[in-house]
Amino acid sequence: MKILIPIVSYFIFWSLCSFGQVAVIANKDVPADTITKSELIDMYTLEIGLWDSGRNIVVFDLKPKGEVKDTFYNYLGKSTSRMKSIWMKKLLSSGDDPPPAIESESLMLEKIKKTSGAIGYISSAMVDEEVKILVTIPESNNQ
Amino acid sequence: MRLPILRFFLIFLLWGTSSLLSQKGESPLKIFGYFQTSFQQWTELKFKTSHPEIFEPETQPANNTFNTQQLNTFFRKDLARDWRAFINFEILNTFSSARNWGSFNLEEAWVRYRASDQFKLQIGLLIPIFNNLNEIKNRTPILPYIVRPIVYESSFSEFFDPVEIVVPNRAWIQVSGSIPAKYNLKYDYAVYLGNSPNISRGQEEGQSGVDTTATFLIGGRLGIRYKDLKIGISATHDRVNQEEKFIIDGNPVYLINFDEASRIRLGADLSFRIQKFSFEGEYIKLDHKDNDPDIDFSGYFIYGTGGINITDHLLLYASYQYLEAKFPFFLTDIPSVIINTSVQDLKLPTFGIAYHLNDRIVFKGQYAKVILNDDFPLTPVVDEVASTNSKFDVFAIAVSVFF
Repeated sequence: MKILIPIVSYFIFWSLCSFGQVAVIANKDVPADTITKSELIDMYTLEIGLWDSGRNIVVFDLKPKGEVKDTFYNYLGKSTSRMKSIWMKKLLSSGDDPPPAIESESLMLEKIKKTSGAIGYISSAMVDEEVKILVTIPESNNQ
Repeated sequence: MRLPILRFFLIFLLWGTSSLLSQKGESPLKIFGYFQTSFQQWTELKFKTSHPEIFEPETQPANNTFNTQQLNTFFRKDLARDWRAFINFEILNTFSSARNWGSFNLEEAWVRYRASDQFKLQIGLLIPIFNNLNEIKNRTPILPYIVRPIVYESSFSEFFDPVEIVVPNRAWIQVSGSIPAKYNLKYDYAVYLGNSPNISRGQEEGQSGVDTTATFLIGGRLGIRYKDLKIGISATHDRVNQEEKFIIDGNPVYLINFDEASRIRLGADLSFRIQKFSFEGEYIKLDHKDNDPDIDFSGYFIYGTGGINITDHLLLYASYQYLEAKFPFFLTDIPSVIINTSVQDLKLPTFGIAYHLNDRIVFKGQYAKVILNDDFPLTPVVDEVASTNSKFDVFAIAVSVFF
């Protein structure tokens, strides 16, 4: 019992730390293990469309508003309305589709697993070993 | 003997077609578009002149109108992994062929090959990259304006020449890309080729819509971007044929005879965004080079627009535009005709509001004051300058809808 309490406390502490963190995840076939903020912005603003290997970058967005989405866009330094304006400009000038909006984090995880070249974001606590974590956004980014 | 060849041809055709239709990366045809409908109130034109004996008063009563300024329909299809086809049809000014209103235009029809983000090749009818606004000038859902910076206002093309002259409207081959560099900088480039402005217009000139010369439009833009800051310079060169003649005693006197005269456009653009504030501005200079020192066909345009996002959905902006044009005018001092250079300037302060109801609907409001001055030197007939001044106001509201 005495051993259990610190172990349980450690796991509670660890999960509390994970809560509020957002992980940028990618399909296992993506030829990158990390990503800079600048590169992430370029991908989500559709400035770049190809990984270094020449594979298409497939970007996914989360549909529901909430802490995860807010944390992610605060990290990018752009509001969701600003992003929508950028995507509209890309669609109308070169025909590039905006990132599909996925209904939930669990569906996002499944999409990333199944889509070659895919990148998206979910809360860190939901990540499993079938996807890559490219960057973890700390909770302090959500202001 | 013919039947086996025909069978072979049909098999080859079907195989080739199915192979093309099943290209990896092919996507279904996507159709989308937008329209902008406005209500505009133009006040009565106020006209003054220093020489009423020369210039009859111009009158334009107040008028108001509803108008579907613009409707664009796009077709996009990814033909293969790196190949995309894109078509843009544009309808202006409540188009009606039965009533002879407005116009229906093929604005874009290009195929694009994307080798990388640093190299894209477009082939076909396209809107070239010139300064910041040219390639998106007719994308009403992403612009806050009802009446755009005047040289970009497509709905005025029927009666306002600078729309077709000051900026390059069409090109046919364009290479462009964005090259990342240190410190999160990006270098943008674009180079394009197109027809000269000497396009045949009707059956009396042979096939319409074709260049009647063996010259080209060539142009490009170089730019730098850093986060939300964008700076660039642009230039184009083409050759213009233009002829103005007077008839004196039954004989034509050619006062302007531009025979493939060199025409140069130079542009500069700056735009940036700092939190809720945004700014975009451009400078464009247009000049014709001809051997005749008496002929001056030149001008420049400058505009700047500052905006503030009061909320994520509501933008207020103020803008100032200035257009100056020099062009020859003719004093008839029979039997001779004198060529002088007149100077026309247009000042257009404007401010407006844009409210995004949702992702697809934008409500807009705009007020503009239009001030037009013309100066006509009368030397050597008399040592004076005749001038005219016209003013009117425009109030407008509009809705822009994306579908």
